[in-house]
Amino acid sequence: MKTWRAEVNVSELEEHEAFSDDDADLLEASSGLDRALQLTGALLWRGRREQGVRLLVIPLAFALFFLLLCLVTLYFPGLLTPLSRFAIQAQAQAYFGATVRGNAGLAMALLLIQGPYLIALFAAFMGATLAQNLVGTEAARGGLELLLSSAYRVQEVFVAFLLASFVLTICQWAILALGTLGAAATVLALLRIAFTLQARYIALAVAVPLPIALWANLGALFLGMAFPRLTQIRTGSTTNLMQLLAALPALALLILINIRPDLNAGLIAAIALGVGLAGSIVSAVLLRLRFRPEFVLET
Amino acid sequence: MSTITLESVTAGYGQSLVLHEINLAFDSGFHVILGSNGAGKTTLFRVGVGILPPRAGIVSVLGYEPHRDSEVKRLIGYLPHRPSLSAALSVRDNLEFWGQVLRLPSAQRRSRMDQVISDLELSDLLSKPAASLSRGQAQRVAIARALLGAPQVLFLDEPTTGLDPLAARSLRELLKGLARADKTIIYSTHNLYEAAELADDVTLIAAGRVVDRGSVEALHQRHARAQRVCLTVEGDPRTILSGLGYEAVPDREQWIVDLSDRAERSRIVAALVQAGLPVLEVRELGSPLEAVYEDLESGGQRV
Repeated sequence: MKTWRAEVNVSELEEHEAFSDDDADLLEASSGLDRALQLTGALLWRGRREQGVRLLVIPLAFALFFLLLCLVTLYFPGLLTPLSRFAIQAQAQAYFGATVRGNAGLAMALLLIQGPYLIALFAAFMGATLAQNLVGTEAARGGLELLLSSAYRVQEVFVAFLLASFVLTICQWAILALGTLGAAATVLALLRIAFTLQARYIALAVAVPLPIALWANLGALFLGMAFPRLTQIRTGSTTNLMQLLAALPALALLILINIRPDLNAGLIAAIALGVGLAGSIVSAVLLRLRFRPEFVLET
Repeated sequence: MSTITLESVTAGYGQSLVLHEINLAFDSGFHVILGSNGAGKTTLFRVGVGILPPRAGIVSVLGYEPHRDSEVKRLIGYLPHRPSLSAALSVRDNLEFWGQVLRLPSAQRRSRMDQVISDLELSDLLSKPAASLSRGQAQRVAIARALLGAPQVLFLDEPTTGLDPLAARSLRELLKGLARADKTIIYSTHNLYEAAELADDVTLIAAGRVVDRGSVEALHQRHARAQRVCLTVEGDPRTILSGLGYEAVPDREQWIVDLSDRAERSRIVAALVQAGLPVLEVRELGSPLEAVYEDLESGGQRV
């Protein structure tokens, strides 16, 4: 290896000296919110560079999976289990006050009724994965210690992580929701299957998955920080126990609407929304309590 | 006023206290912290950098408390025990990210990046993902990151770990240059030769307490009782030395003798001369800090 330049050019250093002139002005540099937002920007920049096209590809892969589900329902309805077929029929009755007729009706009902809950489940998995990538990996490589050594207060680092995680989760949710519903609806329209999307449906499709995904995101952040070993317990080729636990509420919701199609769909959506928001708030509070240097740092 | 002061600082994690009543002051120059694993060096660094608030006492860097006045941390560079790079990012992106974290304006960021890339000879590594770097290369990138903000104060936790001898020497030269440029460098290492070469002063830490502090020579005087010496004698000194209770091991034309006390040196030289064996040279072997460290480890600390 070549020898590095041994002598530091002092004049160059001084020329580039960032903050040496007036220490008194130092503490007035920027407000806490400004600092948190600047750190959020840096974390988002790094998240985008680290994740690259995966940020786009993963939600689109989920969307493709859902599209295939719709097409399978349309062309191979015999593959649906009796319980799924019954659930879709019962939900269609509850939603539209009519019995679904034919394969096209089944596919449409799957798209309209199960779609938001499937999006919630996918978004929850993605939210948990993002949280793991952003904070879990950071903690594992000692990056949290490094960030806490930089010119931010602990609460600013906390807010920045939360914001960066939220922004990425929301972006992925938006791609997922648009991709899933848009692709499925487009294909069904191309197949000349007439349907209309009611405002109530749109509201449901938007309102239910997001808080569930954010809850999964926050839950994963908390679990990853409080119990880092959870990330080492594999539950599949690409998932671990932390992701599974964080996505459990979304999974429970999907199972619930399938095994109890007789329950009021609007009420379930409202409960899911409320529980998702409450869960997010509780997880955020728990996370803040845990986000203290003496817990975060390795000893 | 000193650049860094710690007054009666106590710190720890959860229920356990790691640092007890630490009192230290550092001015510009090179300050080595020496202690065994678990002695509290890393915790001392974390308190100094402002990551870990003290349970009691006052920490001041450049007149500010870093755990409260976070902006002062812009003047502090920190190299943690691990390089802590983003594995999926290239070396350039790792530096760019840290420049953003430091809130350096883009022109200044580019200029500082060019500077540290040049100082640490990183040009060939810039496009490599951090995951593909060797331990030594990753350490160089981490050092470059610590220098990116042109800090006034540097806390370096075992910076030469993983570096090959040439790279370690180059880093030492670079850091010496920084110390001459009026920076304050706090440096922990297990390499006693390195410590002896660099240190303006050495702080000995054991079990979370400052055991002693001073120049390498002063510490050596106070702590180094046992000593290994190399004697160049005209003749065979074994009979004389065994009479004094020492074993002389031949090493080419010389003899290696382990003394239980430094004061014994003059006694054995006098005995050899009296016996008609002229002593041409008595040379101490090992780092002067080695004996200090051994004394520290054996519990023979003196405050």
